[in-house]
Amino acid sequence: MIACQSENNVPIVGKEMVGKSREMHWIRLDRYYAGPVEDPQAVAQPMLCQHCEAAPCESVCPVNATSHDDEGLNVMTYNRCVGTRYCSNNCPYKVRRFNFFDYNRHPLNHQFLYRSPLVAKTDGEWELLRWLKNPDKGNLPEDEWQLAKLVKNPDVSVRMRGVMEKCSFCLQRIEQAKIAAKVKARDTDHIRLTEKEGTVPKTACQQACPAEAIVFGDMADPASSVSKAKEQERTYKVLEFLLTKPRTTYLARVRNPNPAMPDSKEHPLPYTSEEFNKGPFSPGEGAEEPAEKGAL
Amino acid sequence: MPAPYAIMAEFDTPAAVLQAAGKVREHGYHQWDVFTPFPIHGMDSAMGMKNSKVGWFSFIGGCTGYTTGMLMIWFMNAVNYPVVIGGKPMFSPLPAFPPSYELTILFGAFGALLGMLFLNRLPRLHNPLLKNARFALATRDRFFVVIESSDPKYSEQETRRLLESIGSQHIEMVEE
Amino acid sequence: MDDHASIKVQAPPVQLERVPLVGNQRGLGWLTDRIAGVIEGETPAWWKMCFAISLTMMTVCFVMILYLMSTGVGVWGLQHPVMWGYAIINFVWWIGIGHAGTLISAILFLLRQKWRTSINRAAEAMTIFAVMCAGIFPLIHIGRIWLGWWLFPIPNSNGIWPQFRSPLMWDVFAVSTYFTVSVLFWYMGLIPDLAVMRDRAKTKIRKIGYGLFALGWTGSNRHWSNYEKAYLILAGLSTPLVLSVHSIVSLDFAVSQLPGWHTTIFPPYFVAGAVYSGFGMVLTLLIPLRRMLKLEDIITVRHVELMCKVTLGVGSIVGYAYAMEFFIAWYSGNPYERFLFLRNRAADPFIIGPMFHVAPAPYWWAFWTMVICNVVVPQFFWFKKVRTSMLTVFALSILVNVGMWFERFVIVITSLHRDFLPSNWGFYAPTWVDILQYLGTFGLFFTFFLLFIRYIPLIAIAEVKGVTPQADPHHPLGGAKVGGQH
Repeated sequence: MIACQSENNVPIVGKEMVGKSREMHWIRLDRYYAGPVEDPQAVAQPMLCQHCEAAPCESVCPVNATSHDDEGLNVMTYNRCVGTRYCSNNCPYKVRRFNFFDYNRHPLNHQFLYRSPLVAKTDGEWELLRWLKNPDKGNLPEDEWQLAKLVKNPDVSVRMRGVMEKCSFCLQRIEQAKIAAKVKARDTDHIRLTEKEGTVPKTACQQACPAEAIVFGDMADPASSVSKAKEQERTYKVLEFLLTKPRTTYLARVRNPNPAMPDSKEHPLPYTSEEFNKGPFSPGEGAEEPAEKGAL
Repeated sequence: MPAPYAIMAEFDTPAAVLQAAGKVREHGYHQWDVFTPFPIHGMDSAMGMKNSKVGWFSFIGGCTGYTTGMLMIWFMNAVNYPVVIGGKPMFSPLPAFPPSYELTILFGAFGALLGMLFLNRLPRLHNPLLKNARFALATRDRFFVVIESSDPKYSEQETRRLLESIGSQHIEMVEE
Repeated sequence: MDDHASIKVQAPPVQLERVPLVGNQRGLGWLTDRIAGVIEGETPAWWKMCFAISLTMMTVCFVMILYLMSTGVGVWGLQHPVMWGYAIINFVWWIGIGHAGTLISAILFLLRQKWRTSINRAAEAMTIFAVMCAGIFPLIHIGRIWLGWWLFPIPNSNGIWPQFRSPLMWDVFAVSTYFTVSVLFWYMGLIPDLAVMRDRAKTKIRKIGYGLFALGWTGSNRHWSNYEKAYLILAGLSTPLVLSVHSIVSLDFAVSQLPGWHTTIFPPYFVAGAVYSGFGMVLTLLIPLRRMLKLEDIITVRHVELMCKVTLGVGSIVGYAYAMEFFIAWYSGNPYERFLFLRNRAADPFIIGPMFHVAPAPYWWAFWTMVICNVVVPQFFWFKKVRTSMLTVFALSILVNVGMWFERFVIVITSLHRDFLPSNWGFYAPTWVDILQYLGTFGLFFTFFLLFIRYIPLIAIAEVKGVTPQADPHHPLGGAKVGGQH
């Protein structure tokens, strides 16, 4: 989560805004519990933009701000977004985040976020005047402003208020890898990124995960680890019945605790195979190993 | 004395003016009209008028609206800047239908209103009738038959006699 | 006698006396004088007071909008996952109110209901002002308001066009068309009435003002012929328009995937609800007006009764739609739908919650207010005693609108705040900015409505005169001699 935040200039919103569920993380870890209330077993499932093929968010955007690109990503065009927020309403995974305030320009407490530049002053100067003189100047003290600029990743745009954002599969890294491949290929056609050559980039979350639970790659390449993982039997898609056709799939965790172990009775399987076969909506969906696949 | 614009006959009830209109038409006048505060049922046929042509304006407006809508959406979403949106087809008549339908109604409505104004030759702010003080009652509770002096059958005495005979309460000349 | 000769002939049935549309047999002159007199008289004290209050509220609304524009959408109570709050609720509510005006003007005209003539001008004005209030909200609720023009198919420097598969785009067209056609229809109806005001004008300003907009209307029958045809066409166009506009607004929700939104009953349900709330607002406005402006002979008790009957009819349709939604949610077996209807809406702490052993829904109070005001309240209109008591009808009409506001609240908020994945669940609470903005739109509405009743005839003079017996050439009062001959 933090890797994603640093890589993609995801704004920090402050304690008060988090209290209002306005945190901006593009990837989050959902916790699911199984078993009795007194001694539940927990599992975390990372939830990020699933990059659905039949994306419900795209068809409801009135200004064409979100679409597929030709390589199979669901891309978000920040400069076109006017902020109707219909896409977030339509996303069943609710992975889209909205910039409610200018988190990047203001200090993050109530007094600053909520005050209107029409009536407020910074450094003794009327904020509207400051904005007219230089729209890119924030409302932080000068040294803090310079520091804030250093935090940001120059490869990724910083979003202003009123714009929706979501996981982009680290598109900037993909583009960098593509550019490097094109430079190396010169006049030949040899520009495809493949795992064999090691040119496929890692997303920030994949790079950071110590368990290597996230796998990203080219779904169209049958030799890539992503395609191989997707062929496994324990693959599933979240909310598959909605027919959003997400490109992100998960692998179900399989546990096989040794019955001879001393704590196997205290920590039995969360459900039996009969319960599992009852159907997708029966209680105890079980522990899943979140291994995520992305598409190139 | 300048030539009068028309001769104006006032009536008290819709029945009277309806009967009068029939008589005036029988006598073969063409440049004449009836002025009422509200449309009177049966007056159109008493005056020998044909069906109004406003419908054509509205129809053309509606067709234009529908075609404009469909063409615009097709051009914008499929030709000029096609973007892949959720795997959906670039142009489909189904989602293009609501905006086109609305434009049909919008252009049809404009056609109806503007067609009506055009056929009525409105706005016409300078009208000799509007200068006549008594004529102001035409919007209140009196009914007028006005025969213009430009009508070929118009004659000062004959027309006046006719109007008196069909029961008018008050006859007046309207100045130009 | 053979059978041919013994055919029994019965006397024709006694004609039911039609309740007159204009009370006390008022004549054409009296009608003109009374309606125009509202404008020509002195400004009443109550008008000045109400105007001052609504002007203040309107200013508050604009100040709130400025605050929103300069600071950001965060000043509202929105949060993840409830991304649409008061703004969309108010938008749908105001548009719904507008629908009654068009229904009265257009649909009742096509159904030849003569009683519409006393109320259609004020109702259409109400529509126009309600649509104006409604139209503010889609504009200000977007994150970057200054780019709102991108919602229109206007060439821009990005070279990109809007995306027409989105119901919000359909909304843009639908609401703009609705506003424009309503204004056209209203204005066309006004032309003869403005001519009445022009002919009665005592001051030069009034004469020029009314005369300019009356376009030189003389009442010529040749003009009336085209006018009536155009009126019929506009009524015929407005009818599918009003049905489509609220259907398109409902598609804003129905096209989405959320349980509680993703249902095909929304278009007719919303249209019925819109007519319901609209008639509620018409009653709320006209019952005090008819008393204060002494128009009881023109907007009679019969008119109020008939409006109550329409309200009852559409209110029952709304109640049926609620029942259907519940039934289909249960019948479908979809656990998300069932969860939504039971756990997000219906589960109150007293009856349903304990009955099903579920925790109370966070917004159960909104849901049950909605059900009582929209299902129970219109049923009172079955009783003639209720329908003819003006105070009761006024009180019930306010409850109608409260109920419809809560319906939109329930639809938007309960479906959004707890949907598919539990990690997304949240709450919604409005901020003072939300509330003041909403109240401020009342200021906007009433400012315009008060100006309307002060300067423009609020009853369709020519149309009301046209439905009196004095206007009928076949009626004795219209000059017909005995036996219907003239």
